[in-house]
Amino acid sequence: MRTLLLISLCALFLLPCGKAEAQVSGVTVIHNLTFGDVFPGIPKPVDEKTPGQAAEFSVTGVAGSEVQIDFTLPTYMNNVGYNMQLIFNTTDCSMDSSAAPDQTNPLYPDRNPWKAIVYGIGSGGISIWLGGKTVPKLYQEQGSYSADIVITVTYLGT
Amino acid sequence: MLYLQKEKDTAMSIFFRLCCFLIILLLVRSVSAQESQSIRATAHVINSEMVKASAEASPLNIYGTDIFEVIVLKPGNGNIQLNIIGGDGKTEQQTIEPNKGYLYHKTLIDAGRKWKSQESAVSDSSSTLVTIIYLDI
Repeated sequence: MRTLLLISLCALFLLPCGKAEAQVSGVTVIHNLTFGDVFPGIPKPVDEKTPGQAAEFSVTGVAGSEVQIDFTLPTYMNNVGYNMQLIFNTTDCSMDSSAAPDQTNPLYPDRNPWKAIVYGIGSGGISIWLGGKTVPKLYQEQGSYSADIVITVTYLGT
Repeated sequence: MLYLQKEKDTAMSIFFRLCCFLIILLLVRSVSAQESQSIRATAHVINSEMVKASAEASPLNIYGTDIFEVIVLKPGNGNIQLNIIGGDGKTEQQTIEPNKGYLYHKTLIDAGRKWKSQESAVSDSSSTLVTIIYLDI
């Protein structure tokens, strides 16, 4: 009787856990947000629909599951003692969960990256793109600037 | 017989409590199942020098450069006309659209040559901000 109880408990514990972890099986970085060469005093935007420049993530998991996507967005890029303003607007994020995601014409465009975004995982996962704008000062110090953008994907269990 | 029944009830009670605990535990785990990743936002700032010219611009002097790029930041819709004045007094004219760069070569701009900017299309009287980007080729 006790052995049976033990086996049942183990089965109960293991099976649902495996399912929960499989809902979001991975977040992969495809591309960094790349502004390239920037001139002092000249703001440079990168549209989220621009391949090769916009940030791109891929979320994989069980199709039909909902996830919540949160960004931790920096307000500056840094270069050893200097910084350069970084702006994310309320329409700088787009997503697509179709089998053939299209960055230039996504299914779920113009999302607000400053707020939590809830979206369903499709058969091909979710492709997420993020644009932004950097605003160098008139006398911006020359050099390479960078900052970290963090994306957190949470399984909602629906 | 009574003893066996009591043991069975106790075992079922423990089993039931453990099941409840595990369900709560699994719900918490499901909700908190998350993953984070980070990417980099990168940019490279090119060396430059800023000058500012009004609509009635005074001549501005460029020294010590062979090749440079002029980028114009200008409110309004009018184009910018650059008058490049050589040492011989002759003037070369170039028209630049706002927010677009224009590359000048050594044959156009020599060190020490003067140039000035003025608005060719009268759209407003606001100041024109001209950025000179030194490419150092």
